[in-house]
Formats: sequence, structure tokens, C-alpha cells
Amino acid sequence: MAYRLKKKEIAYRKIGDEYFVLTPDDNMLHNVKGAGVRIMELLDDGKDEDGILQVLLEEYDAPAAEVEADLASLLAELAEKGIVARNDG
Amino acid sequence: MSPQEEIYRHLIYATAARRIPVLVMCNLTYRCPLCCKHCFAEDPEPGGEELSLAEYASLFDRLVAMNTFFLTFSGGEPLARADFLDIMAAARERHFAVRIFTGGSLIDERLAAEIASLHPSGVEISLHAATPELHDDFVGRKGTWEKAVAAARRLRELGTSVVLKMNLMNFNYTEMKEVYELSRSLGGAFRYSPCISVTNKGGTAPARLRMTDEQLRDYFRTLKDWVVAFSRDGDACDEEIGPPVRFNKRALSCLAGANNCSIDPYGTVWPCVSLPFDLGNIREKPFAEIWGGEEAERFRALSDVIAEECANCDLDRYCSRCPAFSMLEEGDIRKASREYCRFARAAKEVLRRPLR
Ligand code: SF4
Repeated sequence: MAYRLKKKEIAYRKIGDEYFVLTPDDNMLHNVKGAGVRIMELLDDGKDEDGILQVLLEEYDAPAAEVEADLASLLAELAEKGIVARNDG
Repeated sequence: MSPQEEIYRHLIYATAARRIPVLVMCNLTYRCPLCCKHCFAEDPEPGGEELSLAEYASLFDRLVAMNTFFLTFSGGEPLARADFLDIMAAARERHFAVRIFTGGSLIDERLAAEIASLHPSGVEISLHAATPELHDDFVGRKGTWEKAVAAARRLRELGTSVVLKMNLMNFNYTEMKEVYELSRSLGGAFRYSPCISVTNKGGTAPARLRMTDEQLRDYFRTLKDWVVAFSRDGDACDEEIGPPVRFNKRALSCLAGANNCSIDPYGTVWPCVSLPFDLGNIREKPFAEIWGGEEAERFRALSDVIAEECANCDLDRYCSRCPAFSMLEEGDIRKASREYCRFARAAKEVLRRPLR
């Protein structure tokens, strides 16, 4: 499943070590911290889920299955907030 | 405090502490098709050359580099600019959260669709009465109420967040409830303010529209009954980025110049649209140099100065004194504001304890 950052719809800025994201549909302000920050950076660079996974595997010294599961759960969380959407929908 | 308020508060205080200009208001023009009787905006440079689209694009690049997140487009009437949509698109391409302050009269079906397609974080439309004739008479143009309400309705249908904004004055404050209900029926939010400022050049005409003492007490009685329905206490200061800052007794009792500022159509940077401290012009110096410059630091130093008359005041729990009122009406940012003292006296008399 491929996710994309909803660049056209949302407003976002990295300030310090966190992202602030405003989703205009529900007018909610979110802050994305920790591992989510790197994922936001990579999404902003236009990377898809596979591309992000490759980078994270290079950067983190953790089992691939664990990194993959963490990434999937963080992307699902961002999707729930309306920050990312699946390419197919 | 709700999780939303916590995030806003965190953002506001973190950026203020680090001097990040997180919110910048761009007054795109002083031109306006309306003639509202309370208008505070006197053109500081009539006939001056407004910043071009290219100048705005370059400013936005610099603001991105300084971590500005919120941009508010105001005026005058920002939509009076022929290149408004291009300026807004340039801001959205850079992922700013953009709010628009407008009288709403220029937003037809086509413009509503174009604005909505650029996903602003909100459009705030001034509506000063529930009775169309009252509003039209106040803004000096027939048919404005209908156009403003149609614009709000259309934007809501297109999924854009809308706020109806009302200034409470001696002729309209009794219509507050109706305007609130109208905004709810449209699916929008409602914001109101009883604070009527003199103009940015100190012109006193708007002050004649202020509520009398008895009307103020009446207003606070309404507020007391409505406090559950209303999320705010009437002070519009900083509401677009979160809860109002807690009042303190500093001469500079808000975060103007700490994490927000205003830029006029000719490029001059001010700590706030109502605070006449010229910090520099972006046509002469890059924004970062102005923001970090001597003038800005001199202004910020005022936040260490105690407002002498407020120091021993026992009405302070009812007061959220705006330094611009002190500056424009009392001639000194360190002075008490007689207008805020009047609010505080009326509030204490009616409420007995602060609403928040
Ligand atoms: S009521 Fe007047 S004197 Fe008291 S804190 Fe407010 S502005 Fe200052």
C-alpha cells in the first residue's frame, strides 16, 4: 500500500525537532514527534513506503520486521489524522 | 485543557521563547470596497507601491527559513488585490497555514471555489449584525450582508472552515446571539470582540461606537449566561493561533514581536498591526535582519517593563489589557488603558469572578 503526504491539502512545518501539521478538513493542529519526524521528512522528499523502509533500515540498527511494523503503524496513525492518504484513494 | 489547546500552547510558548516568528500577518492592501464605521486601518502611505507577487514569493521563502507556519492575509480587503489567488497559491506551495480576514463581499461562487481549492485553514468573514440592513448601513454598501452570508455558506459547502466575526458596538451588541446562531446554522464558528480600537494613526472616530457602561454590563450579563456556549471570553487577541495569552502586568503584555508580527502592503514590519513601532522594511533589509535587529530588540525589551498603573490594580483578574490601546490612546505602552479599565470594572460588577 503506498501512502503520500497530502501536501496540497495540509499545512506543515518542522519547528525544532517536531513537525506541526494543520489538517484543514477538521481544523486540527497535530504535532508529530520522535520516529514520525524522520518519516515526515522522507514523505516530504517524495519517498513512498518502500523507499522510506529502505532508508530506515539503513539508519536504524533493528530487525527489518520490527522496522517495517513500526513504519506501518506510524503511517496508519498519520492516515487516521488526515496527514497522509493512500495513493489509491 | 484539551489536547488541541495543549498543542497550540506548546507551539506558541516554544516559538516565543526561541523568537521564532511563527505567525505573520500580511496586510496585502489598504484598499477596500467597504467603509466600515469602526475601521482601524488608516493607510500609512497612501498611493504607495504595494509589494508585488514576486516580492511576496521571496518574503515567503525567507519566512519558511525562519519557521513561520501561520500566515494571515488581511487588509483593507485582501481580496481586492487582483493577484490575491496567486499570492495565496505561493503561500500554500510553501505549506503555510493560511487564514483570510475578509468582509466577504467579493467572494462569488467562482472565487469561493478557487479559495477552497487552495485549502486555507480558515476564512474569517466580518458580519456585524443579524439584520441585513443594519450591517449594510454600517459597512456603507447595500447587499453586503447577503453576499457575506452567501460566501460563508458556499465556502462551508466546499469544506472550508469559516468564522463569522462580529465587533460588538453600541448599535449591534444585542444581535450577538442571532449572529452566533447564524454562524452555527452555516456550520461555521463565531468570534466576537467588544474591543473597538482607535485607528492605527490614533483617529478617534471608531471610539464613538463603543458600548456605554450600561451596555457593557448588559453584555457581560449575556456572556455569563452563555459562557458554556461560547468558547472564548471576548478577547480576540491571538485566537487564530490558540488561546489568549494570560494577562500579566508587563508593558508588553502579549507576544507581539516575540513570535508574531505584521507586514504592511509597502513592506514595513510592525510588531502588530496596531502597534506603531516601525521595525524596518523588507525592501531595504531581509526579514531575518529586521526580526533580529536593534529596533525589534528595543521593542521586545518592553516586555520587561512593568506597566506602572497596573502594578497594584485589583481588577487585573478581569483585564486583558492590550498594549496597543495604551499606546494609541494613552500615548504610552506602559500606561493603563482606560478602555480596558472600563471593561474590567463592568466585568467585575456583573461576573463577581472571572469567567476563566
Ligand atoms: S484594569 Fe486598568 S489598571 Fe487594572 S490591569 Fe487593567 S488596564 Fe491596568
